[in-house]
Amino acid sequence: MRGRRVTHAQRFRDVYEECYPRVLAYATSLVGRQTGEDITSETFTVAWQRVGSIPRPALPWLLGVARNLVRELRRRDAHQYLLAAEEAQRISSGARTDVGDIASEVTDRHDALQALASLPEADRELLTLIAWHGLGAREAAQVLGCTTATLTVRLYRARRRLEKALETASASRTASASPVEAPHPTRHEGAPA
Amino acid sequence: MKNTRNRPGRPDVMKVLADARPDALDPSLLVDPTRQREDLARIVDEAPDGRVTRFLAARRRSGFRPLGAVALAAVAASAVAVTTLDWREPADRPAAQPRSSAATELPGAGEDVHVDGHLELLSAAEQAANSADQGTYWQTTTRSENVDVAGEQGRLFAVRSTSTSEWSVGVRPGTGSLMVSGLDSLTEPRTAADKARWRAAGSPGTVRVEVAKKAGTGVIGYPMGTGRPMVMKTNLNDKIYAVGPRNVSYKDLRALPSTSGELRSYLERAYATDNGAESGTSGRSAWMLRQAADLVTMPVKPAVRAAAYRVMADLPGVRVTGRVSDPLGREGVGVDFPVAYPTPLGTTRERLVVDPSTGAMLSDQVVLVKASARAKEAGLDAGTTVNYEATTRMNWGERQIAVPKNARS
Repeated sequence: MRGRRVTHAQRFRDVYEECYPRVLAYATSLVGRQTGEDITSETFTVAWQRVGSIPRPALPWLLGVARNLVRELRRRDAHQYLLAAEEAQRISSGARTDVGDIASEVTDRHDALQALASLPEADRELLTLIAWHGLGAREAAQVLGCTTATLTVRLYRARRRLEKALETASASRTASASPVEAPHPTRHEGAPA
Repeated sequence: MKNTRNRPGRPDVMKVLADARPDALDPSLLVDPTRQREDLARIVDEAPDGRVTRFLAARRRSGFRPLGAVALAAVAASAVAVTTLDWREPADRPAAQPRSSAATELPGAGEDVHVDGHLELLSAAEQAANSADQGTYWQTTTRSENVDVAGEQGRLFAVRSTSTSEWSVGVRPGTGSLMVSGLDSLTEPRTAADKARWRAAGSPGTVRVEVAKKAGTGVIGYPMGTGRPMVMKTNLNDKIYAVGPRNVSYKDLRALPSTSGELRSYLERAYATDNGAESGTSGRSAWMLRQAADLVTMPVKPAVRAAAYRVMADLPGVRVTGRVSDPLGREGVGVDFPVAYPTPLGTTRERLVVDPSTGAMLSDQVVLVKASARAKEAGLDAGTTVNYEATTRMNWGERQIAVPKNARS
């Protein structure tokens, strides 16, 4: 073809440069690093195929695409998904090799992660979208496919449960003489649903 | 969101959680730049939207073509009359230009010639043809054909898809740009022998064709018979074309530099910002050739068109062959791309055919250089044109083109 049509390539590249790290972080939190990279790649492939209609801002839409792709993976290949989700759990629970480190900052972090890990999956997803992936309430609602009003209510409840869990985690640590251990991944919860 | 439940001296629970984010989820630490870059290159190597598009884009390895199989536009109808052969643009020619020695050699001697031979013609045309330089809609009609191999191993046959496209680009404020592709679209066995094999396979309504994909090859279904045309709007507000990674307005096009040195610099700057562009000397040449050839077919000033030909002529690795025929049998000068690409049909090379007497870009074709076993079995040998787009009309019009009633959008 000669006389080339207008391209959306620049917009795509801008979106790619800007959003790739955050899409990858989100995908990694769902399915671990390796599968997360594949999901990220697929997410942007979808975006490229719809390059003329990528919403502004692009990030919530991209995370929504990534989330759908993870759900698709779960349906398509439950085994791979479970392995990937377990890795994600290990990452999200802050599992680390240097367990002996009990500096106060680290213990705070462990308390928070332990508290988070004790919450239902829906709460965890919502709270981390905001606290870890940097979305606002409206954007998070877009990713989760609910109204902002619904999300606000859910967020309010999730925060209360997190506060309680945090108190519990902190209390159990101070009651215990032994160093904090990394919280165990909660296996009973499944995927983002 | 405000936390009204905060007790004094106690941090917001969301902040506590945010601070606790594992380092392994820190976007800035997570990214593997190599993987990120490779993914981008792979993703944009496929044209978005549309099966045929995707297929052609993969075939031609063209970077960013939002839509494939369309308008192979040609040189301005305005670039016509050849008045003198010795006209030169003195300031524009670098002093130590190795190819300028061939500049006076006329094309058509049956030998390899350089594009310079007709640069003079273009420059002359530039002098002669300013009158018909502007209008409202820049319109082109192109005829295209694509050849593929379908069927099962041992019973392979070649199919060809032909269609006509019309593209009408509005250059005045408020005018839109429309492209109607897939007019008279037909997919059929390529030869009588192919037809016999297709029949032997049960005359399938959809044939399976192996195509190059971003990673390896894939199979797509190819409906036989006639198809419906498709219409689409091609402008983005006032942006009407793409030059490399940039979208340009008519005003931008008219402001392009009209000496080859400046135009080359302009394209080199565009190349530098095109992350998905081919690399290496020949990749760079191929990219520049593609862009220059595209420019020639846009409604640029005649002097810019002439400059674009000079840029093409001076690219390293670009081979210019005198006296060839385009796929519609029209004579011209062949301009071969400096790189060959592997496809499921074998190694291919892209060739442009330019009419030196008018400066018109006649066609853009993909020729098999070395046929794969698969292609050979289906009767496609080296030298076969497996894809072409030939321009049959290019001129200014005052009215937008009509959209067929059965067109898909």
